[in-house]
Amino acid sequence: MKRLIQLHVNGQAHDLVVDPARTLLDVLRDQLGLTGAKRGCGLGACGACTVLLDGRPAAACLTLALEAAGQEIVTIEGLAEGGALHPVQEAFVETGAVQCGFCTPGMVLSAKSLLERCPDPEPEEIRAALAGNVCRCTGYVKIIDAVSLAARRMRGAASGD
Amino acid sequence: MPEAALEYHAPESLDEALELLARCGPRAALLAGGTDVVPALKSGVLGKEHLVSLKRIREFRDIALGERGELRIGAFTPLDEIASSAAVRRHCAALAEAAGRAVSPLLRGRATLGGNLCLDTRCWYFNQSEAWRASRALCLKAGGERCWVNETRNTCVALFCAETPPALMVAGARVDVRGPAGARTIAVDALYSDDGLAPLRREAVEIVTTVVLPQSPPRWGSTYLKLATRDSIDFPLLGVAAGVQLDAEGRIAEARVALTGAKSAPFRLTQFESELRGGAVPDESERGESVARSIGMLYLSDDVPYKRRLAGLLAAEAVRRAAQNAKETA
Amino acid sequence: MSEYSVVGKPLPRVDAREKVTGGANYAADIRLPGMLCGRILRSPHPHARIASVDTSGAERLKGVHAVLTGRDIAGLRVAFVDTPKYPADEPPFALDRVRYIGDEVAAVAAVDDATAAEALSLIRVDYEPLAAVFSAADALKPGAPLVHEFDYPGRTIWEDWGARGRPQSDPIARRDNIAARTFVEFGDLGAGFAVAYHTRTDTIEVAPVAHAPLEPHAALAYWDASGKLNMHVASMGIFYKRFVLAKALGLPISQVRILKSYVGGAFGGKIDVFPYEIGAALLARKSGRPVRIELSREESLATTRMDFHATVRVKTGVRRDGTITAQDIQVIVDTGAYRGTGPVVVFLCYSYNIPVYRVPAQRYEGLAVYTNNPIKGPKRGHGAPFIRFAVDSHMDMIAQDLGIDAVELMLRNARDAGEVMPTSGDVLRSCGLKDAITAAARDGDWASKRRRSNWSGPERYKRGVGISACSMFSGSPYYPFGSAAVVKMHDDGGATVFAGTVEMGQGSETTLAQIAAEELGVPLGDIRMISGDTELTPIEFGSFLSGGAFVTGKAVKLAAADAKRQLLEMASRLLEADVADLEARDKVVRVKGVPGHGLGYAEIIAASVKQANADPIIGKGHHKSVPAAELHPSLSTAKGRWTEAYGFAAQLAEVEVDTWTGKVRVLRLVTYHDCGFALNPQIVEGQIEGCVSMALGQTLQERVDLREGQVFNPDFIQYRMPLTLDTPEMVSGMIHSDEPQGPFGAKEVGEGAVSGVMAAVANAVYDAAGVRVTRLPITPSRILARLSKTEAAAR
Repeated sequence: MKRLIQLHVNGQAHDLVVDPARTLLDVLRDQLGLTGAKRGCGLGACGACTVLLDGRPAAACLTLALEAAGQEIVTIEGLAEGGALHPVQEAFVETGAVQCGFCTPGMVLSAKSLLERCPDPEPEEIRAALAGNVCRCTGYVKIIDAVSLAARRMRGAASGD
Repeated sequence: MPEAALEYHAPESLDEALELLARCGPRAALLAGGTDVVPALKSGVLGKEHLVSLKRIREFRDIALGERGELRIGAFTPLDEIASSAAVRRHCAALAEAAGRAVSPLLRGRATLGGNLCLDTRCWYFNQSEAWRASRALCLKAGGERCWVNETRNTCVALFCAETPPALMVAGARVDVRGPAGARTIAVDALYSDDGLAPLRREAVEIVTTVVLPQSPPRWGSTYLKLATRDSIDFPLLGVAAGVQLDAEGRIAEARVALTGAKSAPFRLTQFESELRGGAVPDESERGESVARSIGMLYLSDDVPYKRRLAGLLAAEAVRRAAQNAKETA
Repeated sequence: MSEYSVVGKPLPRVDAREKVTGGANYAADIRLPGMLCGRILRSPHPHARIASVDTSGAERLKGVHAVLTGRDIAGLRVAFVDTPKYPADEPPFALDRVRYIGDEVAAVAAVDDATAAEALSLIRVDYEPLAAVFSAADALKPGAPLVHEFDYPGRTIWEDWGARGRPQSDPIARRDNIAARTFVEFGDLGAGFAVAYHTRTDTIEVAPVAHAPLEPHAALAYWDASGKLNMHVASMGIFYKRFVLAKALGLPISQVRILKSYVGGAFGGKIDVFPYEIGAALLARKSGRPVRIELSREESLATTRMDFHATVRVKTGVRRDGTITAQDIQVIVDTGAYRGTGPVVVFLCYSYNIPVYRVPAQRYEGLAVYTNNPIKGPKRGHGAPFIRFAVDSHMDMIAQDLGIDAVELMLRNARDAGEVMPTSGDVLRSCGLKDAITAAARDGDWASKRRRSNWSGPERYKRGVGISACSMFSGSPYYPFGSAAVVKMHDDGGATVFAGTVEMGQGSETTLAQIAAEELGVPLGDIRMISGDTELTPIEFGSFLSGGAFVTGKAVKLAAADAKRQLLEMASRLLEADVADLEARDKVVRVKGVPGHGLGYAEIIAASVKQANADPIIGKGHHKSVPAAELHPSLSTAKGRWTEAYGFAAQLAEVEVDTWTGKVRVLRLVTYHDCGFALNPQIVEGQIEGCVSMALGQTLQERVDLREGQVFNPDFIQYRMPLTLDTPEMVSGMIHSDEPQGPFGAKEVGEGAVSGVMAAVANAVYDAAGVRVTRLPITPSRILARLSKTEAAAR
């Protein structure tokens, strides 16, 4: 039976009528028009559907929409503030970490979450944090570079440079 | 078949959850992190009409040291918290390692310890979409009449692949299970039936609430090794946990070695354990050949001799590392 | 190349911002009012006769707006290869027979996905299973069941493009399962082997792999008020697609429009005109509403296209110094239930191989064989991965047999610039092959790392290095046979470039924008790209032919040059100077050597509008992929001009083999890619890194697990692509051989850095542990099995 729930997405509350079997990914894309999270595999095994739930990366394709009620949901559309790119987004653009772009929203969100938990990660830690996000285009080299660059900048900004 | 209309419940307490389960019985599935339930739902093999979500239940999400030095971990604790917990690492490194290697970083924040303990068994023929299954008669686990893997004996040989259970087994962990009839505490091993069809000895009306690891004895160390093509996302081809207690001379007083990914339940290598007891920590020349010989029939592998050989190798390696950890904690 | 201001620079991609903010639209992201959801019903049987199809239950279901079956398009056949010799063989929806698991039988469009799924379950199909074959070897046996009983000659696409046709139009009964054959012979083979000091034969086998781009296949179709079909497709090569779609649907070409969407990776798997695309168009017409079909990952992986199962047998004769005297190659590929790209791949296994080493006498035979397996399509490298894996594993062993260093052996046989290819007559106007080999060996520390491992020693971890080379084309004569571009100036001196390229990750929008900016003399930020729309952009060659930089880039350069010429002509009038005395840079036209005497582009354009009857200055350019050729060379004989430029790559792998578990860790992968000139070094590096990652996946861990025609791993848990954790240290070097025909000297990049990886790794594994694996993927269990054999033999 469908239920009325409220989802908090990118700082905004949405009242929605949702079937229990619907995933958060379906609701974001089909009901809220937020198509940044992608359908890649349907099994949580590629990361294209990554969103942040209470700050932690999660596979929206395996999260039932009803389960996400009450959590703070952040999608890629909610990252840039007033048109200014987040440092992770900026770094991805500069280092050539974007090719076809399909994995990019998920990668950026996973990276953002990592840097909030761990502001000075070694490349190995970056790899481990992004090990659930598949990229078929880049071979990951520039993605790791981008996250390192973003980390340096964010640390620099934090220390008031 | 279209998905049957699903009812969703989000009880606020364990008692309420138990009540729901008692009412719905086998028609209900518990929803913890959802990383096992949701794929099953999507591929049409869940076969339930009710989802009982545990998300509103505030308890059973802690890691705490008990009065007798035991470590109590709530079953609804996500795996990433277990992996990064200093208390878990100190108490049982194998558990922290297993939790940190399971699934992928995206799912570790939602997959729970209880869910991992109660993970359904897996098989090439079962974990497929409905359209895929239409190419052949349904297998036993999907409600049909034959096993496509084990055609001679026609029993389900789906593999148990969860990674925390072997770590818990070598630590001698026990599990609190609550049901309408009350609570019971059982050894982790006792949760499993070794039946691919119905791998859990948990009634549909019961919920696993707490995992208790006894205080580790002195000079005890553990480790978990995973064999997989990839170090993330993949289920293990083999997961091996070892817990080793050394005596004052540095010889093995007691060893426990448990495997996942090889049979329909996690299991201990009891013969290997008795060979190790009282002996020196095996050096690198020990490749676990006796394990390879005695492990028995293995299903769902493209290369059974390889898997047997690696089981022995990893068992010996795990014992060595666990012994090393034991030395370091002494 | 410091003389350039825009090309040759690692500038950020023009589409990156859209992609990092989630604003980039792919085919499945576009929603239209009233849009319906489409789904396909597929055969569960690998081979069966269809006795009846009853769609009445689906038609009656509330929320279903259209249903279609093979009856709706009876007689239509499509195929990637549709020539007089190989006429199209695939009905988009089966009429009387299904030939592989996944073969399309029917399609529905409904208000939502759940209703569409339910509608499919209500369609009753009566199948009568038939005997099936699942390997090329079995399909070639006398008496094997025929996958196709007839060929259906009709007016083929190649004839539409000018090929000479065949008079017959009745179905021709087939006698075997050979879908295509390429045969090439030149030189005196017998004499060549007779004078050889050493002759060796090796056989390799390659398992099928999946393209597995992160974006599954998807299409959105709607018919507008004027009766025109509009589509958003996840596709490479939109002009090719438009042509085939128009033909399939019986529409004039100008009644079909493909609009722009970004594509989330393709790698060759999104070129064919697929039944789901035709289905979306027909369902949209029937229902009068837009229809979107998104394939699931399983459908995308298992039922669209995949790469080949191939066996290659190569026999080579060499002199004492290792130079080749004769070579005999046989390739057999399982092309699946329909011809797919089978006829092309067996042509390419010859064509991609012949530019690498000098071969005075050659016999080559390639067979593509029908089976009841899924259909095969081109995958990045398109045959080069398996032929190069075979030949360079084989050459490594020849080097071993002769006691010659493998790099030295390669250099002695490698071709040079100026050489002419035997059957095509193509000239290697630029060839950086030897430089690439030398550079890869140098950066990979070949001399100090080769043959250092003690194969029989007790060490658990053993290291080694291996090397291989490959070549790739830069476009060929294939519809639309070239590219064109338009550069439209704006009032402020900026410009919009109209080019038909599809941006699928290869960075074409950016490199084309850079070319235009450089040529036009404006900063990159002043160029806008309009791309990937058959209505708005002129013909485009299609990046699936590796001609993006070389062909379309040339067209864009010419269009920008045309616009610049017009600016200069206008400026020469205004400045009262000869065009030869003018230079155009930074949006200003100046008289050379006279500071202060210049005009901004904006002023020139304004003057043009005022004085030249509103001429706003629009540049046009076009370039034919192979100017000397009218049509593609013969697939069966490889005769005819094929490409204007060849790219080359040499790749070195350093590996560590765990001799206890058989696991191979790639420590380092060095690539030197001769791309002529790197228009954007950051993009070129990214392409190399992506090629290497994909190639390593195929070499070590990817395999479509096909059993009796069914894919057992159609998902991303079981189909194991490389992750962040699997990335080795990569060195991505470029050789600038300055291709004279290429825009700024550029030629192919995007496909060429795949095919040297396989043998490099296999050779490195041999160097490390003395174990030769001749089958892909090189899995731990295969290595351990061979190690055990070697140990047993030693004991």
